Amino acid sequence: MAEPTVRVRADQDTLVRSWLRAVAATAYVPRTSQEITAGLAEMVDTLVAAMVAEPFDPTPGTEVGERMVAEGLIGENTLQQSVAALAEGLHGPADRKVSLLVAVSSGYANALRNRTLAQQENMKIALHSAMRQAERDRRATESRFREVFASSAVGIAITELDGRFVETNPALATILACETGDLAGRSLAEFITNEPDVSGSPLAHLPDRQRLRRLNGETAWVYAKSSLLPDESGGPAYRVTMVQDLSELHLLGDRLSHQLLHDALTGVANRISFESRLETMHGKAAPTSTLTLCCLDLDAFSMVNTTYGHELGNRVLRTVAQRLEAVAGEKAVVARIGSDEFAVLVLDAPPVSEFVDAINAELSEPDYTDGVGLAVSASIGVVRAGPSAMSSAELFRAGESALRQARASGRRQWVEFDHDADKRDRALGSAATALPAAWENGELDLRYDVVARLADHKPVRVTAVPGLDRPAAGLPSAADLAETTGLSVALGPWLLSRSTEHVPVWRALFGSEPVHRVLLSPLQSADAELSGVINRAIAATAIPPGLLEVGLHTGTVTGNGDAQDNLRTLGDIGVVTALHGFAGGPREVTMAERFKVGAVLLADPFEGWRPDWLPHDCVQVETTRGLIDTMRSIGVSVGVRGVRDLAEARWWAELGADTGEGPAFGLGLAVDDVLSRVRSAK
Amino acid sequence: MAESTTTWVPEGIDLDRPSAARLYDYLLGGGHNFAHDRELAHRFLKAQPHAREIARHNRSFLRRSVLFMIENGLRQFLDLGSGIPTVGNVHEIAHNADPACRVVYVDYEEVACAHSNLMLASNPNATIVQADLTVPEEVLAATRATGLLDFDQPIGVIMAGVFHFVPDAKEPAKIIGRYRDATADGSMLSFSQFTRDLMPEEMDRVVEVMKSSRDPMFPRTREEIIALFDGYEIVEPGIVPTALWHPDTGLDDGQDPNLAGILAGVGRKR
Repeated sequence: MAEPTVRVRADQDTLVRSWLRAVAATAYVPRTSQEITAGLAEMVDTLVAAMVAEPFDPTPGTEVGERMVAEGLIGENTLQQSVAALAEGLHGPADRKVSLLVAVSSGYANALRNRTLAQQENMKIALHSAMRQAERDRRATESRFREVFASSAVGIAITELDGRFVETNPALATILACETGDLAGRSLAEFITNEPDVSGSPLAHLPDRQRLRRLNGETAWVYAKSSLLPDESGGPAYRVTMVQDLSELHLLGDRLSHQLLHDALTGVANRISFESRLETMHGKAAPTSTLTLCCLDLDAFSMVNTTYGHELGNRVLRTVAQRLEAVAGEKAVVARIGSDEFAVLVLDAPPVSEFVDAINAELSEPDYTDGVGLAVSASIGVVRAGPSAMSSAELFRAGESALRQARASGRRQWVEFDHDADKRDRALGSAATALPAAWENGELDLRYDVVARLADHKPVRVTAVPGLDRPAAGLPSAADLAETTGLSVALGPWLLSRSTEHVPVWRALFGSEPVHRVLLSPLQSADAELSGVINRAIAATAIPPGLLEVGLHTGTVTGNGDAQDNLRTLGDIGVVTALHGFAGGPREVTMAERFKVGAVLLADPFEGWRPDWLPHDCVQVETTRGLIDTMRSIGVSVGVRGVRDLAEARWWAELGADTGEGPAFGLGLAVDDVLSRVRSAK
Repeated sequence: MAESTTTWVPEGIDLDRPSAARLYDYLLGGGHNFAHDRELAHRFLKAQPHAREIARHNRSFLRRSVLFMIENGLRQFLDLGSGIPTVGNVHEIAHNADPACRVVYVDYEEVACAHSNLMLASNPNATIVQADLTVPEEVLAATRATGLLDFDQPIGVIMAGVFHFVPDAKEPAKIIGRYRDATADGSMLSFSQFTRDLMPEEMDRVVEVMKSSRDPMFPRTREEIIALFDGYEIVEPGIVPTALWHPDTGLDDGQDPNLAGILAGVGRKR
């Protein structure tokens, strides 16, 4: 029977403590000291039991060794220190102690080996997955790069540091006009030419611009940028060059600059370049020389377009440009300055009339196309001045002003620049353009002209007119100004709706005949919205339509379907209609009859002459008397405007006219003034 | 024999340059290391004979600081520069205390990440993010993307034995500040790093040895480390050798705490 191995419990505790010290000094165990101590105590118990067990079996020693590893007691010297502690603390037969500690060591060694193998297995898997991930990333990067490389519109060349191609993409081959394979062994430098730049090229400001000679001999403009591709150690390995084809851009740039200075259709200078060439010629002209500028407007050109089509119209414009160049000579400048406007600038031209005749003769020669012979005529404004008399800008403006005057005087006219006419035009233009602002600002007012019965000079109605608060001297009326800018289309409805508010006043004043008249301008007469406007005005004021007399412009009604529609509709509404500016031609009389107008207002048949000074039997008077008789015979009353005084009024009354208006009866009066004048007339 | 162990390593992984993570693993008795790492470890041991103790103490500090943070109510952890999973990982310590704890590891080394992925594959409350801890924006974005941490609740940010690899040029104070600003009030910082203060000669030799590795070292003084805790209130006992920070008296009795070589501390975001 063996001696008890551990005599007292205290010995066992001492062993556990010394083993703990050995472990703590040699290994990191991620547990509290109590937890570790408990584990060690169990192992000590196992070993103590094994020492006294019969028959002796060292296997529990192996298990303790394995458990040490499992619990992490695996510092470098942990086994050695542990065995030393156990050798000292375990009591019993030496042979049993030796075989038990050998078993501990052997179990520990095997477990540690297995643990290391397991860790290395894990490590291997980890490395594999890390590598696979890296490989996946690399492949994804590579395929992304391939995609970009192959599909890029920018040429990409990867070259050796000496410039030889390593790899090129399809875009680069396209730029160089060859196959990718053709580039093998070559270098980018072979394609670069050093030809000088075209001056004024729109691309001249671009840095890194290169000119390449393509394989087919053409030149290509490119934008090239290269950078170094470092190898893994950071040193340069390859050069990557991006090549962008600028040829298209270059061509476009050239074309744009040509278009900037030339008219695309005719090839002659355009307006912008004409101004600069005028300026140049003006600046270089000797003080004694003269500059002659003709501005031409083709007569009725829109008719050519609408009748024969734009293609033929364009052909005519080209022909005109060529012929003008032929007439004007090499030193002249011919330009197209508007859709159907040309300008010809000549230094020291022949006398104006000769020059204009030459142009007209050339243009009137028919141009035969597809069996259609087309000749055009032009209205021409001419200005001729020495360089010191006018600046180049003034010269151009004067030419265009003369052209406007020529246009105003009819077709195939030419007008030489006239300072006074120009001044009038400009005053008129500025007044007309200022009118919309005046209207917006409420400076435009409602006024009335008094209409009187010529038989007894009794006021019978009023005519509403727009009036300016501060009318400018020597200018046409606000209504006429409005007509020149088109404002009258907006002004008409305003006049109608504003003035109908006063109809009750006039009704009380004049009785039941039409008491309120509005005369419409040509634009207003043809306005498609007219009947709507009048309907609304009537509805808003709830007046009988018969109190309203609306006069349309005679010339517009005879020539315009819309205006005739308006006349008919107004009659249907019940408004009394009138035609003003009535000259008495057969068509006009027919219109008056057909549309059953209530009245006509004569256009002045005597062109400003006082009629009462004319002989009674002169032809104009006879004709007018005839016209008045005719109109009255078909039930149309005849009105006269511009009656200066009562003598004139009496003259017209004798001739048979029904109503008169003008200075004799009061023009442009405010409502109150009309009231007081009418009352005093009673 | 040393070379033969690497024959099983797949091609394409750079093992020529030893890594601090694998060196640390070796010093702690792990098997996740290679000949070059062990060779470096031996040179390290020559320069600093107490390297194993230092490693043990640092690992022990990590464990105690995590438990401290759990005692203070924290249940989520961001372990920056976690390295190769070795004995006593943060999620093991935390889950042992409360299985509901959530842990995000961050490391930039491929093998460490692959290894952690293997280990955490079946663990819904822990994961690893491969990112460089010196680029906080990336790390924070990737961490948020895991959805594991709630940035409105306090987070235990762990920087154990890692900032001695971050040079001053990278402005460590700013880096730490970014993490501090990204976390809620009451968050804590567990921080430890090498110092020259305790064993200057050995430390100088270590710096020299580590110059050849992927991870050269930059020891800092106690004052410099305190400065890195800007915005944090440093808890008792302050910045001390790892062995003296809330020591487990049963284990570390009778050892010279200065052998720790590493200064450590925990701070609470103010």
